[in-house]
Amino acid sequence: MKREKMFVALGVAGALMAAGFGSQVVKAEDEKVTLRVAWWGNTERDKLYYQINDLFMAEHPNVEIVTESPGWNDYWTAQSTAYASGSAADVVQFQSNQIGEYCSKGVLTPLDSYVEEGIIDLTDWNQNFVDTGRYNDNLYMVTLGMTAQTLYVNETFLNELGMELWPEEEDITWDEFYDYLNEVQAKLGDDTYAGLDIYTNNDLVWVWIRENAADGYEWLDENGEFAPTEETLASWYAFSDNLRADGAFANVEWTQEWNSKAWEEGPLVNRKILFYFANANQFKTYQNSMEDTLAIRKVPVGNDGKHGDLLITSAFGISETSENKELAAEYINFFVNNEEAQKVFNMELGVPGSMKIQEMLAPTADPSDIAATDYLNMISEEAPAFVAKAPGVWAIQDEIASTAEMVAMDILTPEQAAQHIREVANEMIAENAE
Amino acid sequence: MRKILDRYAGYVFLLPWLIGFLALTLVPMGMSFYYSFTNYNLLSAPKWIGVSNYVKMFTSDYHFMNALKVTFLYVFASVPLQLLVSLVLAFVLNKGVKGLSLFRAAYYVPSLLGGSVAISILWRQIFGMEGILNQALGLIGIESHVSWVANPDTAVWTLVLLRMWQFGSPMIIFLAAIKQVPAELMEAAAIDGATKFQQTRKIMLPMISPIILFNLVMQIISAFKVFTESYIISGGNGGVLDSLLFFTLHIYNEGFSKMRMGYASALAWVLVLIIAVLTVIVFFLSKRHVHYD
Repeated sequence: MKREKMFVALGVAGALMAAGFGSQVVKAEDEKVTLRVAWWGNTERDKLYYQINDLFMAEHPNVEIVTESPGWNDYWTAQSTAYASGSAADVVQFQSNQIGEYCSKGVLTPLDSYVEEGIIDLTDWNQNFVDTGRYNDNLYMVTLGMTAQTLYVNETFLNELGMELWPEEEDITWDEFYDYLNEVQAKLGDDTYAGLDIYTNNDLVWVWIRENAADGYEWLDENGEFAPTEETLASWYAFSDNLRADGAFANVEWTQEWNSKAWEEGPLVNRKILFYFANANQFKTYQNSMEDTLAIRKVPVGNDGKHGDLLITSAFGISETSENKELAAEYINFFVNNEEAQKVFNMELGVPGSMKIQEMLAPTADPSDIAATDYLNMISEEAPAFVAKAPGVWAIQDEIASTAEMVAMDILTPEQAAQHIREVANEMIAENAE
Repeated sequence: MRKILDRYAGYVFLLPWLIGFLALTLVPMGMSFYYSFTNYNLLSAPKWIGVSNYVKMFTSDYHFMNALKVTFLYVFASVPLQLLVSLVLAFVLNKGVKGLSLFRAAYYVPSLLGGSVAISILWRQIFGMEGILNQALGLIGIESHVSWVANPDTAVWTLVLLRMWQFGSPMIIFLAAIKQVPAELMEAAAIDGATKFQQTRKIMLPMISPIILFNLVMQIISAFKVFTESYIISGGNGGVLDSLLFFTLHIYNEGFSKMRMGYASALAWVLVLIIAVLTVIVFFLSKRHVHYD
């Protein structure tokens, strides 16, 4: 009896093993390659990516795309932990702010060889846009959409005050802009301000810094220390502080309150302010949320006339740990160059890098998107060359904003705030260099 | 053989929890203790720097002191108020209210919702500059343009209020404890001429004092760990002048926004130490006031 039981057990085990091998053989024949793709998403945006992924899988029946799309804040937590544990997706979306942090640690693959082999086709691209994916002369990322800070103006409201806007190609300096805001404020009533305070704008502060820096030394100086001088940082703080004192910017509480609202419900849309710095790719959202005519103008230049515009890219990179790098490169190329895919994407993350795609989208594009495209192409010519932020630099921008609150509350002077930022920044940079 | 099996059966049943505890709690805690002595940015290998992280928080990180102040203010203001509200409501519900189970469930709901993202967003709507509170004040003739959540003087108090509103969980525990107090004790006291207040103070409160201690310790620990509310309401940056920078949010920002996981680990261990010390103090002080007989 015992022996019988043993035979039955062996038989069952053998059958199971055979079945296992059998299924492996079958699997090998029609095995699908899995490509993991990660981006920061929301319900509406995710639909676009899914459609593009379906288009890619239709052309590559052996590929299965697995997606990860947490919201913006959770996304960075997810990515840093994924890279720490060696389980990052094959294709990962980044923003140019993080290029220095990630590329310097060697967790991304240089894409130059794929470009040379033509797997990623960047001919007829705006080369200034392409350069936003470079770190230390290597290309690590390919842009999905480009944006930069711009100055939004409620032109209807401004005209109602009997004032005219300067021509769009004209540069104005920060000093001229300061006087202009005060002129506007003099015509406004209570609880309405000429502009929204800029101290919380983590992108604009870098433009200010670039306007005051020597080319190539925006982030680090020759000694590898934080490049922005105390004078530059103090002038940034003083600009806001003076306009608050003049009444052309609101107090911190008001600014914080209105800043926390969604774009469609913000102070610009609600006629609480006339001038507002934000990224150019948001033009369509603002304009479609208000009846007044919205215009965009260039960010003011330094008082010596220097431009500082900093292109901001949302871009795909390939993880060093990916086992399907070539397929990942093909996917990126499909995403950014395939006309059907780009019709679906329709400038979701800003202006496309490919001039061909820009032209293809132009006839059906929203007028605000066309204006943003023209604006981005224009400033990409005028701005100093893109230099990726050094590791550690990006992380101090929150400190720049929170220190501004202390200036606004008269706890620190602009000079003390500037000194504090340099100390913190150098500490962060030193930590990253260790 | 049977005896041996019996002896180990308990461990086998315990195994899933034990594996979870080791893999998901003990090992990560050990790792974090090690990281707290390193410079670790998540993307490259941690580098040993000794106690530098612990020194840094006291010498060059003013956010650390701000986070401590805000968190202590929150814990010491919200926990007593929350326990007081839950205790009073438990007494009220013990009075034989009709539809008790309905009230009990209704009062418990805020505890389930309190720490959620949705309620945090709702809180912004209530206490914002154009929120419900200011509109209500407007109706009774008080013009207010204060953003209660953005004003550094009032921001943390809106979260204290949110915690008070989450009285359901301790209330249920108090109610269960009150129901355990023998009725004959209260009756005897009443016959002896004790007033309701005296009965509550001299009999009821001492009888449920171990449960008060339990709720106090649990709520202190829970209040120190509050994260979602401050994260959502402050937009993740800790609010104006760090007025909503709770300790957990500071840990999160250092670890994930600034990618200083070594420093964040050191902060986390300081939080563990603070909670441990406070718990010991509470237990020590309770010796005189808590009656187990």
